[in-house]
Amino acid sequence: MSRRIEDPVLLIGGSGVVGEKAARTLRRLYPELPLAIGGRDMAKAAALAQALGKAEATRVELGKAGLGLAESQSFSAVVTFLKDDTLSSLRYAQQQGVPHLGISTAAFEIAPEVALHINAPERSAILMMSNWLAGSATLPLLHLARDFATVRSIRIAAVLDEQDMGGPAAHADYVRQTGAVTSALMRESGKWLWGQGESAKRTFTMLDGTPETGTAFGNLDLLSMMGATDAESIRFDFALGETSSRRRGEPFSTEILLEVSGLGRDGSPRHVRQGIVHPAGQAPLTALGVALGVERLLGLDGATPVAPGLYLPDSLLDPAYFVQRMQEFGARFHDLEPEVGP
Amino acid sequence: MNASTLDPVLLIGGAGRVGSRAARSLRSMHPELPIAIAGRDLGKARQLASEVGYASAVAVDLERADLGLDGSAAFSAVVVLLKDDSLNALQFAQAHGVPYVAISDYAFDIGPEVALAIARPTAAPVLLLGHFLGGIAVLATLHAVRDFRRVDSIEMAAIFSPADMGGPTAQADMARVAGIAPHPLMLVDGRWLWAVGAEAQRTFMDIDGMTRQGQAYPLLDVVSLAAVTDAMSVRIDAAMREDEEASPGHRLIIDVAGVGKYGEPQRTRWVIEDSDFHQGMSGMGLAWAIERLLGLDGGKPVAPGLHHPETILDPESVMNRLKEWGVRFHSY
Repeated sequence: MSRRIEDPVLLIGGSGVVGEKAARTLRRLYPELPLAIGGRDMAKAAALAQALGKAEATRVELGKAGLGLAESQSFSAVVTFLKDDTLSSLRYAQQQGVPHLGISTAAFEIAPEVALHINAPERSAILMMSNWLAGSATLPLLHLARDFATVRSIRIAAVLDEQDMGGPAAHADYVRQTGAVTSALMRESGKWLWGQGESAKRTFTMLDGTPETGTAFGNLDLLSMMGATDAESIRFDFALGETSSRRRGEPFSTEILLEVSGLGRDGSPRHVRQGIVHPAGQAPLTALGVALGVERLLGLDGATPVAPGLYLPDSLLDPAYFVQRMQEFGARFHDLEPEVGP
Repeated sequence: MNASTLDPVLLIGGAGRVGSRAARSLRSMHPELPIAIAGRDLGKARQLASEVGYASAVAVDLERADLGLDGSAAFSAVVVLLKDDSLNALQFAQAHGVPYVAISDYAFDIGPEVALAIARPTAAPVLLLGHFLGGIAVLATLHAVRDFRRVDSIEMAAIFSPADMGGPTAQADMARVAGIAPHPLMLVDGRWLWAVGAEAQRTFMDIDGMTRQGQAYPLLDVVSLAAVTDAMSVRIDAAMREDEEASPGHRLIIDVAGVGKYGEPQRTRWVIEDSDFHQGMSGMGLAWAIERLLGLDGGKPVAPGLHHPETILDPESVMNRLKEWGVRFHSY
């Protein structure tokens, strides 16, 4: 039986491109779950709240202590869909003692959030879900890795269609995260390093066979892989370009290419490759990932709500369940021939 | 906790400049605490071990999950004084359920360690201690702000002379920052940002009347102080002095602005000076952290989970001990 939540889930940036889809996904999964759409544009938030039902528009002022909210207001969880560089939304969740979920922090940026957790570890469950498309690469990859006795190498490539950059929040993330550090975190032969120049480039094959060159990106998928596997080599490459579907003259999609190598359960070398495509682009998958994060944090799935602490998606979510939901929500999984070469 | 009954504290990179100071500080505080010193130069480690007493030199291979040690090797804590790219030392500490301390992490590179702590939250205490002076700068700042009702801004400046740039590990760390993340992390008017160009520079007046030019640095001090104090602006800068200047060399200047007890605007400047500043103080801060983690101070050993210096050490007791050690610190 699922747990009944009285207080709304506060979705900050909830009327943005991904926020709105996440609100609709939560509504589809939980018709009775109260939602609060937080934003600066109250008309937009109110229109969405009206369309969703059991939802309200809430004015949120990032950077203000208490987010400018009335003391009488209370929420069951706080989700932040944009980079809150003030961290006031995370602090608010901690003050209220409710879970926080964020999706806009690269691996090099986590220190201020981690410090807030370390200084108040018993206040809130903090789910750092800035993995690619809120776990849409991490959890399928761990699902693929289940048939390995030893995982040696993990390579993830993600292709975002240049027509699918999302809203201004996604664009701001991209600019900040590619500008602040001049190199990308990766793990190679058992060592963490910051790749630069040519070592940060990798050419891979897209679903339709077209080669694409991506650039290494140090996002939270790497951290999840470090925690969940013993892989000696882990890298994530990102390309902004043309997806296979658009090359065929169809609308843009989003593509994720997963590759795992190591030893199988029988001790023999094993190498698998899988492609994931969502025909409607990145937003539906990101929205689903967030919805599944909220579901787990609050115990909407019938299991115990998550205790205060610091989490990555792989530490809370079941890969098989996540993959099943991705399929239900339109993702297509393709088993591919392994690529030859390093 | 009785020091003599513990397995040795493993100091990886322990024969280096900060490590050897930490070993000596630990020894003077706890004459019977066993210490194991690992270094690339085993001869140097052996020499330090014999000087320190009740210590051994061990060969550690960070490329291996078992650190190249035989299965019976047991330690009470694993302390890493260099950048361990493999994180084998952390995984070793977690597998053995003993505290881990790393002192070479900048604000931008804690990710992989945090990931391991998240994956095994109950395995071991993980102390992120990349802070300036082994956490002493953060604790001194928390001492400086204790009379404030509200803290608005914290500006720290570390003043070095060219002769005190640290050993090869410290220099390699600095080169690493320049190559990876040339834009330092700071909190400005309530917003976290990676400062570019002039924003990363700060001009300030030193206590000797000299005007100094500081360059911001992405140390963990900024995130610790922002989390504890709610300050709107926090930064730490490093400034180099000219070597021929006559006044004592190295100091940390802490400038705090905010609102005092009665609602009045308040500013304070605290200065920590020591003839043996950078390495000695870092070694001391590290030794106090190890003592606290293990419960050698009479308190309970620190529980598994992620930790920062401000969550395990008390500013007032640290300041008292600094005074006992002859470190000068005063407010202006």
